[in-house]
Amino acid sequence: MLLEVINLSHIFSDGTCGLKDINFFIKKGELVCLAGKNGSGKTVLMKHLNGLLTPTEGEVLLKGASIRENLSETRRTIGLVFQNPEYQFIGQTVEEDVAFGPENLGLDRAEIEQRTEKALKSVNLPGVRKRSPHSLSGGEKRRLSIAGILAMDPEIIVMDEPFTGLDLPGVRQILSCVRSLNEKGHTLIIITHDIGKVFSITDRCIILDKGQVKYSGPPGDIAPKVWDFGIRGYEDYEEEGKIWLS
Amino acid sequence: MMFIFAVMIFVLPFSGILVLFAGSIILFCFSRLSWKLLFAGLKPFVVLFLFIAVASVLWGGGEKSSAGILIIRLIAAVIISQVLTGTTTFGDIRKTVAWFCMPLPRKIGFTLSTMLSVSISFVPLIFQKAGEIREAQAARGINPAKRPFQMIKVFSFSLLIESLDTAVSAADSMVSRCYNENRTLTFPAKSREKSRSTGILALLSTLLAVCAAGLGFFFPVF
Repeated sequence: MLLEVINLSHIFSDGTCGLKDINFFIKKGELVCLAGKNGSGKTVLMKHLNGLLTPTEGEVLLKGASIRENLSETRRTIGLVFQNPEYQFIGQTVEEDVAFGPENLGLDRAEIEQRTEKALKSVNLPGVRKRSPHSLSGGEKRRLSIAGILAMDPEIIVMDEPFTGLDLPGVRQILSCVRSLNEKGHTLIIITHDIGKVFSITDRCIILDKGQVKYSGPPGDIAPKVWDFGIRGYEDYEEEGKIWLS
Repeated sequence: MMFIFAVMIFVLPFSGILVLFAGSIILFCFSRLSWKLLFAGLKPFVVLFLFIAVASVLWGGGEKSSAGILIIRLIAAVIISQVLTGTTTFGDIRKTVAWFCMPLPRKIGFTLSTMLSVSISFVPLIFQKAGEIREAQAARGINPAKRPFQMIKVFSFSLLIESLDTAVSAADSMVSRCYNENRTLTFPAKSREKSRSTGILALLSTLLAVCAAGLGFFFPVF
């Protein structure tokens, strides 16, 4: 197993329960959709996967070892793409921002340059290297935030609500990027409350509700029941998928 | 360097100004910046130049040459500032801060340069948030003209909360991208860019040295 979450619980300082006894696993090369309504604990869980939060109970294992044993290696292996890409931009130009991660890894300049080039090419962002990240369109910003993570060469990429605020072309660009990354061997976890967009490309669906895992399995089995968990369902997922993927 | 230039431009006599002006044109050509950029930089000053010219004709008592010298001084200042802003990105300034801090413990230089970069990155974001909050509050009937203190109170509180949220998200993002003090130092720049920057700096230094010499610092030329 590449990633295992075992009995993970998180209680906030005010006593609110964020996550309760979460158990699931992710295999290498999988494309998993982690779905749930607002406040179900998706983002809290995402932060636990990268060691940004300390669990109240339980642990997260990466290749069999606790992620907290080597946080630097964990963060290099598991890349997080946050919901709001603008908060993620550190550099003044696109290339500076993409290079931020590799610079932190202490790589030499030639390697940083090579990784920056490759990451920007992977997300199809040509000709914007010298532009300010804030001057890009919504879809481009999202792809830039993915490039910033790709430059660190992670095995697992976790994307938090990658379709928020995007129009149809923007969603299609991100979906195309997601598929291409998965085909290249990256393991992907897509966190969303709108499973219609990823239903046809996802291998497995994990449904979170009130901080607990309510379902983990093939998306087809849960499709008719997602309304019960506050997630929008669709009459025909195949048709819905065609809209976003065409 | 810019400080010395700023002093020079206002203390040099006419012949020195001509040398400085010619030198700044050469520097501009060497920096390979677009002439359009120069004209765009000069455009906002056209009214000022006209005002100086008209004022010298009307009230200058025939001292037209002093108005001309002043205009040449200002044009040279605009050219040099265009060269500076056109050839130096904020990233370079940030990296220069880290480089200047190299004698200090590595951590301080990196922390300073990164904090500088992050702060500047978030200025447009904070302005955007401020605009959104102001509009949202205006839509809910908060009129700054009628109740300015209420406006300041609710506006600043909301902006503070939003700014803190943004800062926490940015910090999470930096940590998740392995931020640490043992980062790769990417300054000085690559050799091709470095030789160009060194050339521009050398030219500017020579120009200023010639002008300083003209002022009588070394020997009287002008």
